[in-house]
Formats: sequence, C-alpha cells, structure tokens
Amino acid sequence: MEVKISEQGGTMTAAFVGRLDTPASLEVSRDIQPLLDNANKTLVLDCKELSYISSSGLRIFLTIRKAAAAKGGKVIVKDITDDIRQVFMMTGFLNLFEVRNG
Amino acid sequence: MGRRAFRLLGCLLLLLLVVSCASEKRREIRACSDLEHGNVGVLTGRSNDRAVRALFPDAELYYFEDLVSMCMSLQSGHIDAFACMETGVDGLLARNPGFRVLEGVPEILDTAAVAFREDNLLLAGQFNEFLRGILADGTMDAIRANWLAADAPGVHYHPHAKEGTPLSVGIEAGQTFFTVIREGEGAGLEPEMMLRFGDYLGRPVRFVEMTNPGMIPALFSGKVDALVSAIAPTRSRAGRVLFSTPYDISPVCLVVAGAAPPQVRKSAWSSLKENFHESLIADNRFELILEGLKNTLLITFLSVIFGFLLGCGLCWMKRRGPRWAEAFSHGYCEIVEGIPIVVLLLFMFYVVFATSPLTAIVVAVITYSLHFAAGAAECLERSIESVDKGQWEAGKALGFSRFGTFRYVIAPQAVRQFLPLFKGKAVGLIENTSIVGFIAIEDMTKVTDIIRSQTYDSLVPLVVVGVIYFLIARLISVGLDKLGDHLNFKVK
Amino acid sequence: MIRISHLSKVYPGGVTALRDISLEVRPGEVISVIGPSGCGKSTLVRCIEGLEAPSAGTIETGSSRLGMVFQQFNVFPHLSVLDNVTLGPVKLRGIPREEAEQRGMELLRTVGLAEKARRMPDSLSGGQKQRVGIARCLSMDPDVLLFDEPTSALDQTMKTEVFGVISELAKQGMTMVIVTHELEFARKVSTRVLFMHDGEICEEGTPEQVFDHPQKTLTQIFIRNRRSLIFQVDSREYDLYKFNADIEWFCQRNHLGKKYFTLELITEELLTHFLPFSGPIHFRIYLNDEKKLAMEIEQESCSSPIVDSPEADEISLMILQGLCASIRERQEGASRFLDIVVNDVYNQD
Repeated sequence: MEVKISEQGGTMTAAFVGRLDTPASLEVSRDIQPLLDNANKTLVLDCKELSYISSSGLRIFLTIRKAAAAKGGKVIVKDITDDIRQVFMMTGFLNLFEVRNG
Repeated sequence: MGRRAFRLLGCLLLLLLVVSCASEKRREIRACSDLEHGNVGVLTGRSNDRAVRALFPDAELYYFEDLVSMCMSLQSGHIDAFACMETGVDGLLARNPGFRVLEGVPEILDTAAVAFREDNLLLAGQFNEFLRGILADGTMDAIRANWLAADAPGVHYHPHAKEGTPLSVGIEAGQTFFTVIREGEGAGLEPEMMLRFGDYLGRPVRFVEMTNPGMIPALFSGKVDALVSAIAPTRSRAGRVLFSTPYDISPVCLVVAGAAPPQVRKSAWSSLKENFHESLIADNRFELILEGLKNTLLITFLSVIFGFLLGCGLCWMKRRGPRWAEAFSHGYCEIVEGIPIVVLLLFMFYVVFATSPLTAIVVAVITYSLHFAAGAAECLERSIESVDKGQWEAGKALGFSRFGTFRYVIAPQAVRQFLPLFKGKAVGLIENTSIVGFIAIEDMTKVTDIIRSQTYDSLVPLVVVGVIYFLIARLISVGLDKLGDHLNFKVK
Repeated sequence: MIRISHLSKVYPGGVTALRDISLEVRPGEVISVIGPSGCGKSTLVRCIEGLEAPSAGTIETGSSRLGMVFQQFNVFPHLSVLDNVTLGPVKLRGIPREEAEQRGMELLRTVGLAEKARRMPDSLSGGQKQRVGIARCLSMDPDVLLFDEPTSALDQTMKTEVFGVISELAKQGMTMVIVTHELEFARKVSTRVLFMHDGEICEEGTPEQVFDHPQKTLTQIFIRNRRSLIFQVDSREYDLYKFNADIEWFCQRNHLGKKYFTLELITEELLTHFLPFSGPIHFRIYLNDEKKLAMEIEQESCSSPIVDSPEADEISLMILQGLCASIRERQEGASRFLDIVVNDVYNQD
C-alpha cells in the first residue's frame, strides 16, 4: 500500500495504490497527516489504483472528511472501481462523499 | 568469419611469444667456485649425479631425461652447467660452439656398462669376453674414433649376422653421447659395439628404442636381452641386474656455456629457416613425423572405436546387467579412471603382456581402449539418464520393446547430450597417446624427441607436432559437431 | 475387456499402493478414478498398462490393445507432431509411411492439431502437447485408453481443450479409464466413478451416486473438501496474506472469478471486528447445495453472539450485511457457529 501526496494550486491530491486493508490502514493513518494539516483546501482522494478497501480503510476516509468539515475544506473521491463502489454503497459512503468518476 | 580471424591472430601471437622466449640468457661460469650454489644438470639413471653432489654439496641438481634437453637448458641459461662423461664431449662441443669444459674439476670417474637380466649369466659372460677382445685389438679405439671425435666420420657398421634368434637391445636415442638415431637406424658407439657383439655371437641385433623409466622393466619382463645406455653399474642396481665390465671409463666433466659464440649472429628469421630445414627437410625427417603421425592416429582411432564398443558393454552392464555385472562395471570404471594412464600403460606392457608376443602398438591400443571404455561408458550413461524416464514409459505404452524404445525414442534424444561429452573424452585420448613413447612406440611425441636429439633444436619440431596435435583435435571436434548438427532435431 | 482380480501392489520399502483391487472394465465404459493424492489411483492404471508389475493378483486384458496418456504428456521431443503419431504405426505395425501419415493427419484433425503437423512439440502449449499424446495413442487403434491425470499439469484454458477431446472420444464410444482430480469433468464424462482411498476402492457408482449421494463417510469428506477451502486461525497474529492467497486460488479453481474480493472482505471484517479469538477459529468456504457461495465459521470456546453483539463496529456490520445474503448463528457445544451465504446479487461478475 502506498499513498502518493502531491499539491497543485489549492488542491491536495492523495493517490492510493494497492490494498487498503487493516494492516495497511495503520501505516496510511500516518501518511495522510499532510492532508489533515491542509484540510482547509480541496482534498482529492484518487482511488484509480485502489484495489481493495475494508472498514479500517473506510475509517481513514472518514477521518479525512471530518478534518475537512472542521476546517472548511472539501473532499472529492475520484475514480473508484466497481468493487469499491459497492462497498461505498452498502456503507452509505456514497452519500457522504462527493464521488467523481472519469 | 570475424571471430575465426581473431582466433587465428591469437594463435599467431602465442607462437611469436614462444619464439621470443626461446632466446638466450645465461650467466658465465669461469671457475669451479662459481658453481658452488649454482644449478647443475645431470642425466637421470647415471651415476654422475653423485659426482656432482660430492663436488658441489650446495648446488641445485636438475635431472634430465636426455642430453638434448640438458644442452638446451644450458643454452637458455636455466642451468649453469651440466655433468657428463668426458668421452665424446668433443663431439658435443663441436656441435655447440658456445660450450666449453670447465677446467680444474677434481677427477671423479664415471663408468658405462651393459645391463643384462641377472639370470642371464651366459650372455653377460659372452659380452665380457667379446669386450676384452675389442679393447685388446684396438677395435674399440676405432669405434670411438668413428663416433666420438670432434670430426668423427660416423660410418655405419654393417653387421654380417642375418640368421638366428635376434638379440634385442634396448637403447635410448639421444640420451647420451653413445647413441643417436640416424636415418631410422641406431647409430653411434653403443649400437656399433652391439652390432659387432651380434656378429661375435652370430645373431642379428634388433634395437628397441625406449625411454629411461621403461628400460629396467623391459629388461625384467624379457622384452629386451640387454640394455645399452651409458648405464653406470651402481651397487644398488647391481642386485637386480647383471652388469658387464665397463666399456667406457672416463672422468666426469662439467660443461658450461662460454661467452656468446664469436661468429656473426644470424637473424632470427634465417636461423628459424635453417632450423626448419634441419628439423623437417634434412635427412627426410618429415618422414619420421609422418610415421609418428600414423602411429598416433592408428592408436587414437582404434582405441576410440574399440573403447566405445567396450563402453557400450559396460554401460549396458551398469544399467541392465545382473548385480555382479553392475558392480563389476562400476568398480572397473572407478579403478580405471582413478589410475594415471601412464601407469596403466606401463603395467599392461611390462606386467600383463610382459611375455606375450603382442607388439607395443597392440598393447597400446588395448590399454587405451580399456581406458577409453570407462570414459565412454560414463558419457553413455549420463546421456541416457538425461532423457526423461517418461519417454521410456511412453515408448513401452505405445508398444515398443525395451530395445525398440531405446532405438527409436531414447537414443535420438540421448545423442544430443552424448556427443559433446564424447568429444571431450576423444580429444583427451589423443593428448593421452603422447606418452606411448614409454613403451617404445614412435608416436609423434617420441619422434619429436628423436629429431630434437639429432638437430639440437626443440622449437621447430615441438611447434610442428603441437600444431598437428591441435589439428587432429579440431578435426575430431568439428567432425563430431557436424555429426551432432546432422542428428539434431529439425526445429521448424 | 479388462478384468482385474485381487490386485495388490507393494513398493520396495514396504509402501502399499494397492490392496486387493478387483474391477471389470466393460466395452464402452468411461470410468473415472478419483481420490486423494497417494490413494493409489495412478498406480492402478500404471499396473493395467504394464508399467508396473503387480505384487499379487491378476490383470487380464485378453486381446484388447491398451493406450496410455500421461500427466507429463511424454510426447517425443525429437520428432515432429506428425512423426509422433506415425512412429508406432510405421515401426511397430509395418504400415507404409504414406498411409501412416494420411491416417496421422486424420487423427491430428480429430484433436484439432492438423495445422501443427510439421511443428516440433517444444513449440506447442501444454494442452496441445497433451492432445498430441492422445493422438499418438489413437494411432495404435487401442481398444481401451488409460489416462493418468491428463490435465494436472495444465492451466484452465488448456484443460478445457483436453477435456473437449476426451469428451468427444467418450461420445464415439471409446472405452476409457481416467484418473483425475477434476470432479466436474469426471461427473460430465463418466459412466462410472470409482472413489479410491488408501489403495482400496472405497465407493463406486454412477457419477450421481458418488458425487451427490455418497454413502461412505470418506467419500463424503473427500467430495466436500474438494469443493471447500478450509483454514484455521489460532491467534490475532494470523497471516492475512496467506488467507487471501488461498481464497484467490480457491476462486480460480472453482471458476468464481472476482468473488475473492467479497470473500476476502468478509473474512477480514470478521477477523478484525467480530471474532473474539476465545479459541481456534475454523473457516470453511464452499459451494452449498444451491451452488451458492457459502461460509461456515466456527469459533471455539465461545457462547456469546458474535455478529449480533452490541459492541459491533457499525461500518463493519454494514459491509457484512451488504455482502451476505444471510448470516445465521448457532451454538454447538462450546463452539459458536456462523453460517453465511454470500450475497448473490453482488456476486454476479
């Protein structure tokens, strides 16, 4: 699991690559600190190469969303796969996040 | 093509290196004291090593098998001096202009006698009788004058005795002053003496050319009746062989190389040309080489063929034979592969076939076949085992007998593995045949020794013969490769 | 056609591969031999073919000709595909080469390899090699074909090619004995199924009898396990990656496509948020009677509800409820069981 964070203009982009399962979530919760620090900006979570997510992974997304809500930022989830879209759907995350594909 | 050209270039460079290394370098010896820590050459199997040890306890001794090698080592500076009998040294000095005898050496005598089997009292007695005669009537002096003086004419003696049991005499060509080989016949003091002895007995003389390590075994096994090779009758030898009275007694002298020869030095090229002429053309020496080549090829090819056939048998025994045969085959291969081929050769010639009428070449072919069989069996076994076991089962399932499966399924696949292994063994065999000189076969290597003893030049004969060996090895290797290509799977 | 009576095989070293096997193969039968590895099923056909000598008993084959297809194909790599199928006829039956080649091409056509006739076997895929192997057998006009795990060394697409050829032969009425691990294939192609265990024929019958209503416990366990993935978790230090790899392999073997995503997610959620680890946990993933993907989880030494617990993680619970069509809990002795049927809607690829 790898998170690539980049900044362009007023947008922070975090690209998630690989499987976001329970062991990976522990690591990732540290890696996303820059996102939480810049939660006043627009945060894009690029999920094009995210192949798997479990509840622990979803919790990371939730943390980011909470921080953004507190600081007045905005979170966009981009390009989720069908498998992950199903998970988002059954957990109600699809309503919680702005999800853009394409 | 590019790679081939490079290889050729590499070979040429190597040759040049060899030629340039053959140039001279030496240190000058003026007096006895200069030799105290020097390097002194002696001939193996003669007593002059003891003389040198007595004179120079701190000198380093180098043992040589023949006089020619010793002369060359002195020439090139590898040794500072060598010891030899004074008899005949004049002739040696005449042939080697740079050499001279060291003055002021304390006198120690060396002797040369004919060796007989210890139970052959009759022949030894007859020889002593004959020797007393020729020493008394001046014949011996005439023989000496004929062969050993600086300008000795070297007229061949023609024996009268043609009928009767031949007297076989072991000689070593070029090893000493007393024997050289000329025009394919023994010549020199010792051969003439023995021919005259033959006439005295009324028996024709047959000379058997041999090398030093093989001489005493040849005498014991009855291959020869007498040995004449400037052998010193030492006490340790006297117990095992019977020595005649000495036919030559002379002080040991030390030959050293003086300053470079005073005459105008020829260019490297013209001296090479002269050596080439001397080694190959003069006296039709190339015929000797051809003769040697014939023997080498004969032994190699017959041994490869018989060895391969025997190897097939051994391999069959290992794989399919009853338990005892399997054990025998394994044991055989391990023993044969574990013994140096030269030991095996001497053992076969001097022990197993000691009293048989088989010629040396036949014994050599038998020995090399037996040796090669072990290697061939190993190649066969390994290549057959390289084929997947499933192939045997597939052949059987299709309805083939075991032999049919082997013939149509296993063998065509095994041959791919077999040829490269076999090639290695066959090339190794040619190289191994270079030691048949030990049992008095004139193969290419032995012939080189003979030519070297006549011309006192090592470079040309060694290079020529080396090249011939290389070409035969390439021929076999390329031939087997071609065969392999021919048999290879046609991948489309 | 083949009558085997009281056949036994003991290998040097004392390993018994076959115990007192009696079997009759009648013309037109297609017999599949199934059973766990090392049960002696390969030894049985190898004995019939004569590749191994029986230790006791007899095998009568009368005048029938046997042919054998091997797991490792054993095609002749030094001969072209066509020569592989003409070698036997030419060398063994003395058929003129031209005639043999004509017949060889026909055989290659039946196994779909006519266009590869001039190729060398090394340039073929495993499935193609195996089809050459079959054609080679057919070239000797056998009365009975023996197959020793013909598809074990092949991947799924290549298996399908070979199954196709064998099914075609079955249709034409060829008598065959097939040793195989592919139960679905065995069910489709066979007229009779033998289940072997520990060198004995444990159960035999029609595919329906053996696969759907096995009488013997050993057969039941074998058939169930062949279609199940079983793993055990002892502590929280479990190796999630190994379970995931097993799940992916199971899905591949059972042609379940991407369902591994669902199975992995259910497994992970249960392990991280629900199971109390009060003792060893046994997972079994299988296809239930309705061919639906199901899981059975046993938590040892537990008597309190697992999924229905009040502390359950909300997101996890939502995921489980989304992925599973039904989750039932039951108590059996000291163990708590979860029976899960995976949601079919989501399972659709």
